[in-house]
Amino acid sequence: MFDLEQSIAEWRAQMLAAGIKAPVPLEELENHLREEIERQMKSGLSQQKAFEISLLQIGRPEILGHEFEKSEGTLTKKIGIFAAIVGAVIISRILTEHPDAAHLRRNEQWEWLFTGGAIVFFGLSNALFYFESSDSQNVRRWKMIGIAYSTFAIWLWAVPICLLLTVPRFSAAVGMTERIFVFAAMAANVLSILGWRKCAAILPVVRHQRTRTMVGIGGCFLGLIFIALCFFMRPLHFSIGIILGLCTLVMASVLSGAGYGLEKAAQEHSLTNS
Amino acid sequence: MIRKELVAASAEPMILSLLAKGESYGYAIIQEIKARSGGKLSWTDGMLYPVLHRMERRGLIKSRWGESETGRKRKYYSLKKDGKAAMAKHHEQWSLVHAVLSGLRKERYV
Repeated sequence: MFDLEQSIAEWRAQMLAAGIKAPVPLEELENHLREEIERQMKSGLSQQKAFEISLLQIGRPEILGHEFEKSEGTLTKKIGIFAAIVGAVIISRILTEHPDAAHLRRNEQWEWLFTGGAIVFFGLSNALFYFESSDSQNVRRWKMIGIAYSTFAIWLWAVPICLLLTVPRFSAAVGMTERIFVFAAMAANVLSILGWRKCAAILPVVRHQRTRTMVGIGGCFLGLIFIALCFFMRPLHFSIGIILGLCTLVMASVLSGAGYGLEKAAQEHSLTNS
Repeated sequence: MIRKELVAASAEPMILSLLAKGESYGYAIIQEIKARSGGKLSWTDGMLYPVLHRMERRGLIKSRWGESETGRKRKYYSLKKDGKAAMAKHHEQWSLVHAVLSGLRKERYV
């Protein structure tokens, strides 16, 4: 005897096995399947026949799974998570073997620590932010670079902000104005990530890809200089140092988005005029 | 039947144009496209949902959960401002393609 609910449960299991694990698409697909079964049954088919025809209509699980994977960017997320884990393993291994900063410097492990950090940020930016499948390879590449840069800039400032809020010696040295600056700069940093999406509308359309790439690289290079300045500055006053440092990181964060903005603007323009 | 490449290319403008008439849900969208094309323009039903989700993420459409007449949960989609602009762009481009093809066809019979 055919059991419709049992058959639908088995179909759901096949969908899950094919990689459609998110509840929303699965529920939508099941609702679709049920509506199609009802329609087929109204036209006089038996429950079993209606189910079989509806299954064919909705598509094979592996093909749908592949399509959803492309659409949801699941593969990109998996690569991102894997990269983040690799980076975290590198960092934790170095920190375990070299317990303090002096030891790290003596054994020339800073580069590896920095590389580990960069891999973690690359992975997280891949895993946490969605890359539209309609975007070209160049747009995706620059978007990822921009997000990784900005996240890195925020991370660099997470440490002094924690010090500012928790260590009394630092906390006492910083007034209300400086604190407002610190949080305003953090907000600007975060907004620079979100603002890139709208950059295409205001940026000029640069037709030559080589020029766009050069501007993007230039932006990142300038950003690196700003980050380096932030480390090597020896300001007269602690609070001035905080503000200057924040400004440099915000600049780095915004500049690294230039490549993304230009690529996006060029893509939008070519789509409109194609 | 229409070639699958053309069906895929026309999916977004079709969905946008259908949603311009008012909010709708996946099953109804498929049924209406099938009905309007006399069954010639149809794709595997499940393939509609990745397209809808992609369009939602691109900010062209938005969705909300509602209930069907039978009480079943149903996800309704509607057009956003960017979706209207994208639809206008699609119409312009498809009209141009149509105009060029029609012109060439007429010339052949002159």
